[in-house]
Amino acid sequence: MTDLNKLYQAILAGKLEEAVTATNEALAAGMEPQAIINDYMIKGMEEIGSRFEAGKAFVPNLLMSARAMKGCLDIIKPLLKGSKDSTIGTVVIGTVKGDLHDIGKNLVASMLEGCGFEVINLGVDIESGKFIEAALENNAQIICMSALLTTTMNYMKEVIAAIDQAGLKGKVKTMVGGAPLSEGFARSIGADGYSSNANAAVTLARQLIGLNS
Amino acid sequence: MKTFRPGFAALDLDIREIYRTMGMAGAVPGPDMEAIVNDMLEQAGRNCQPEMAYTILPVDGIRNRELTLGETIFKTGPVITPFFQDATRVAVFIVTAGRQFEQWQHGLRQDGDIFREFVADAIGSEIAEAAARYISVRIEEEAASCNCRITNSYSPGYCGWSVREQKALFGLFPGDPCGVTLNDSCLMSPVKSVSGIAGIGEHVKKNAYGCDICGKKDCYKKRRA
Repeated sequence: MTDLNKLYQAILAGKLEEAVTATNEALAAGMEPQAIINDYMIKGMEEIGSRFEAGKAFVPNLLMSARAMKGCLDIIKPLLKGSKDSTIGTVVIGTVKGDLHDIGKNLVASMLEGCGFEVINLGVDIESGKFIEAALENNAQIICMSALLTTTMNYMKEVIAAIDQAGLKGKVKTMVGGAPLSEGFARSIGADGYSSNANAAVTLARQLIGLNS
Repeated sequence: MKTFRPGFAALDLDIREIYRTMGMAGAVPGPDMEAIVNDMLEQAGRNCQPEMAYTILPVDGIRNRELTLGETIFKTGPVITPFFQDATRVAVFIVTAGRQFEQWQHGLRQDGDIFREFVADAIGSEIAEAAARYISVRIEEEAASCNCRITNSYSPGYCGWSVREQKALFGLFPGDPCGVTLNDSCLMSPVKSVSGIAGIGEHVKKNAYGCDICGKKDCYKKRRA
């Protein structure tokens, strides 16, 4: 009998190798891939997220858990190909034009991926057209933008205007983040949401696509 | 212009600052995390050739919000400019963790290990800060040889000094100093670089430099502090 609590604990503690071993054992024992994800892996991510919100865990802990989760998903995802449950939604993410900072954006991408989203990570210095093109190509529900500088964050407004012009307003939600941003700034540019950290970004993304946080 | 390539080992990295940048907020890292950070520091040492350069120029004028160096006028703003009040010369500097470090980071990104990428980013930030401390000591030594002292260093993009003035700062060096270039947004490439100026004079002071000197609310440094 496979001890799947070990998988939950490994995800929670961010132990990549142990999580991968537990996943392989569970699959070998005939466990349903989707059940492994939903009942153990996502539960582990939810618990580390709760601890983060309560100030009992820190960004590196979140990332170590996301890394362990990704290691397990790399094994499980090929088994889910074609299943409509394989992802909960698709997000296109990038750092806006003029800005080269990407670690915060990658952190959000990793957390979203770890929590079940399909993530199209465009990289840094991304123009509005590329965001829209990627959203259309991948049938994304959310465009997520990041900026670290007050001089570059204003470009987000141009992206939102371009989304509107492309007729995607309401169909593709926008969420923004980055150190100099605030809820007020997000509202002022017409973004659908703002989050101040990677964990909150997951909650927000789930809300934007109509899932419970 | 004086240039330095002292090697990674010459930098005095502050491991506590690396953890702080990672968001540990003073918490003690677990053994797994510590092992990865130590491994990444070792790898960084093999993949980093920090470069620094500075040039010393006479001050031609100081007004409330401006600092004039020959034909270059820096609009340093009301927060920074007063610290240069007694400066007779200014050291303008650029330091970088270097291209090799950036390539190493790029490789980590390709590997898809977000945690190692994150740790490398924090290490890179501290390398750039340590390189700035290194060049500050060299500038201080040169100033001391003329019985002068130096101020703290101040950078475009902080405390009300527009990041767009990076262009004027870079214009004070021939070519691309230390291989560092600016993009259209005046961001430096490699990203893990620091540019700035420090005042030199017999009567200048090195005042405590922290976020309390500046009222800018949307600065990420202030939020981190």
